[in-house]
Amino acid sequence: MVNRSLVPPEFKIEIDDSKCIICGTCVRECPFEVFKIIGERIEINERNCVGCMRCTYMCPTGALWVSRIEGYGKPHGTWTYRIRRDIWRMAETGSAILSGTGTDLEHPNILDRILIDACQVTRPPIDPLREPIELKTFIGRRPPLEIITESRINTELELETITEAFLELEIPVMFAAMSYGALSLETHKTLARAAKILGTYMNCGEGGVHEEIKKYKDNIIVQVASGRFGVSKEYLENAAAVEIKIGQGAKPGIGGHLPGEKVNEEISKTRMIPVGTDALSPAPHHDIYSIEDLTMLVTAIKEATDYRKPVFVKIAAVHDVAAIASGIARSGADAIVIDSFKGGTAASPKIVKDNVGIPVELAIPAVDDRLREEGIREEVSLIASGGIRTSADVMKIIALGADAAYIGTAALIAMGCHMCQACHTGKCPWGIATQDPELRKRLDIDAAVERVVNLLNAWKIEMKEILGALGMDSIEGLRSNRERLRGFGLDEVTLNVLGIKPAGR
Amino acid sequence: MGDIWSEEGILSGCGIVGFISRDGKKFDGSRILKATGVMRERYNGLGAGFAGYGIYPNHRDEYCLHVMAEDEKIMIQVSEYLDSRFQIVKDEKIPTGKAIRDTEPPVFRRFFVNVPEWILSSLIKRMSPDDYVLRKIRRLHVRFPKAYVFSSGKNIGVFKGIGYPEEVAQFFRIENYSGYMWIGHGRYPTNTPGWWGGAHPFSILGWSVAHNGEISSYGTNKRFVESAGYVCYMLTDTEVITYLLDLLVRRHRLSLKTAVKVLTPPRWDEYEKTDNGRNLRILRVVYRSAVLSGPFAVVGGYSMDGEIGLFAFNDRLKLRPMVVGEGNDGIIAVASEEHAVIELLSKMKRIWHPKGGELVEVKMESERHGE
Repeated sequence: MVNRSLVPPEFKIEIDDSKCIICGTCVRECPFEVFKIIGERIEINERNCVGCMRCTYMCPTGALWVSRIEGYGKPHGTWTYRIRRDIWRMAETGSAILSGTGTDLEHPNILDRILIDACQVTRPPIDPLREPIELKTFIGRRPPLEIITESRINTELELETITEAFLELEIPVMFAAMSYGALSLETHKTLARAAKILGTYMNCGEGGVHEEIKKYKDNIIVQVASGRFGVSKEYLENAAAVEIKIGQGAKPGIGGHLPGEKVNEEISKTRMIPVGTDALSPAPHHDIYSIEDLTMLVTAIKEATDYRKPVFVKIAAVHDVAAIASGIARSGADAIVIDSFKGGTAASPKIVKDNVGIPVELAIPAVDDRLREEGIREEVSLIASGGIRTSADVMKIIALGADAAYIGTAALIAMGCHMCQACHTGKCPWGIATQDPELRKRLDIDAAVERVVNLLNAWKIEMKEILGALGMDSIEGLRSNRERLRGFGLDEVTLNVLGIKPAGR
Repeated sequence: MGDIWSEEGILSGCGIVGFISRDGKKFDGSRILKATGVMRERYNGLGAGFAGYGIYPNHRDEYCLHVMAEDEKIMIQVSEYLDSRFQIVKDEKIPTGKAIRDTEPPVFRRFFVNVPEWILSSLIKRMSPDDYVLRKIRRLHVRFPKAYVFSSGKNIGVFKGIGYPEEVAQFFRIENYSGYMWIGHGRYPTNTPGWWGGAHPFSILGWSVAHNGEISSYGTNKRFVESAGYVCYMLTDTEVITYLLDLLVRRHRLSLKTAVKVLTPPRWDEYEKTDNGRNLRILRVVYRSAVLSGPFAVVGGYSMDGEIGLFAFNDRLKLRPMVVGEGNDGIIAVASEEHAVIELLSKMKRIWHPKGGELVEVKMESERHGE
């Protein structure tokens, strides 16, 4: 058994010979070289298959089907197929396993265990087809209540100055930071255009803003991460808001690494690094070793942008998230982004993704409570990120205390992502997370924009229906309104952290 | 909670009434009772109450605390507590008549108090006398869970309890008080039997508010006023609406008109055609947590900085009834139902239904002294 891998294939590929016309489409479409035409038949190397379903989708005669191999050998509750596979992989390579997207483990999903209220008899539900229901949301820093008091006496409404640094969202959903480099330029363009159409914002991630999407600057949030790629005064100015990335839910405390092979001419320009060099984002910011350092960076960015742009600070949801968020709220940041351990990534060590951090649905109420106890919740905006999949998730996370949510994966799925978790290979078969010029062509920007816009328009309808059922005609009344949620099958401690009652009470 | 002295999430239907005599002419409590009483289908006998403005002309400059306690023993402790924190000018039993049905009523006492300047100046963080009164009442409620302050304004008193409006009125003999503004309320609670303190109007300082409805944004509004220092003790909509008004108008110095535009804002696409729309839009952004959603009609009174006024407003979709009428005698009346307004006015000049989110505010033009 010299050199023969013990890692079994994960997918089984079946070709219906009666339908296959040996056209070679599957051979061309699969970037992982699963298919080869040998004479009059197609040879299959199932070991290379990642389950992206591109071949099945493209096969003109519908002759191809890919299905997951559910078991391999004798099942075992502790030494699962997944665990055995990973051990074999590491035993053969000696390196940590990297993969794309958020953790695929079946962690309990608390959001699915929360139910939303509706009005019956004692108050009327509101019909969104008859009454306008408002979703508009503003992200930014509100003045402290005491200051409102003083500044208003006798000179009511001298308010112009306090509201310059707000983002205005037509739907309380924004596109989360996903960098150019991890994503193709076409994907970045899609998100920017969709954000503009929808009246929301896309976060460009840490890889800078490409020339071709600079025209969408009014809908772009630029990121300042530990690698400081692409950061310049012009970069900060050509944006609606600036986000300081401290951490990412999928890899809290872990830096980033864009391999040199991916750093082509265009990425080199955008990131401001030489072609072919590795783009390394250190784990910490080398100028932030404590909270007071963060305050200085927030202030520096505010100075550089003349206090006209909201500054977000993004952290991974970790155990002491409430205390950390309180520090950030006092650093002068306008918004705090809390990213769930379920959040996506283009590449993260699997072990970190699966085991480090906490879910955002527990972090948000904890942060909301802490900031309220300290009397500063009204001043900052709170954005939930990571694992937000549906309009109901958005509504629930807002009712738990967030102002708005970021989505990443959901938007990519709308474009065609099939969650094969191969983003880190750079060979995204759907043209989303790749720099390969041939693969990039697979994303039709116009069609992708339409799909993303459609998804969020559908969410809008759903949100209005839910708000109407709740008897609300604007979303402001939902934030931190935990009275309107009930836990279903959750234990008492979890209910306590969430600040909600169990269903039936 | 299960304790009859506290209740949570009361669902209730209600009837509300209020009137003000513009020229300061006073009317005894029987007038508000008559109007409240006619809407009997709106109540189920589990709570009613009245707020009278101008009823204590001889103590017009002192805070009047209407205190309820479970028994005399607790009332004595409350007296001692108040005595150590205020200068009590006068205190007396609130005269009561026969008990309502077979219930054992709590005991009632009123205290006319001043906040001595030396107390205020000795506090580390200087606060207004109003804030001091609110804070002490808050402490009193924590310290004496079996006592409750019905009202705490100057020249104002609230009378409320379990029963139909006429039963509560008889019990407190409200026909013996004369005021230039009255607010009345009757309840239809759908879950708990209610307790005396849980009846409405809800009142702090110069505010008294009666409300019919159930706001869907309650949790958001409650957390907002709590972060501004209020303690939601009753856990009712009326309480939270009163705190919002107190915060916006008394503390943040917005006009009542502006405050109501914060609570029931125009739609985002309507600001352009709204007076002062630009600033109002900014206020909505800043006070996002004060926006009220869901069905309600509010009628209330205020007495602040020497001004006395009646106000009423609906949720912006107008999901609960509210009618306003003006009489020939300078009286403006507001009620859930038209016949209550007719009952209140001797000769009707006009009657109208305000739109959702539209504030009706009537200020008293002059106060007749010494009546």
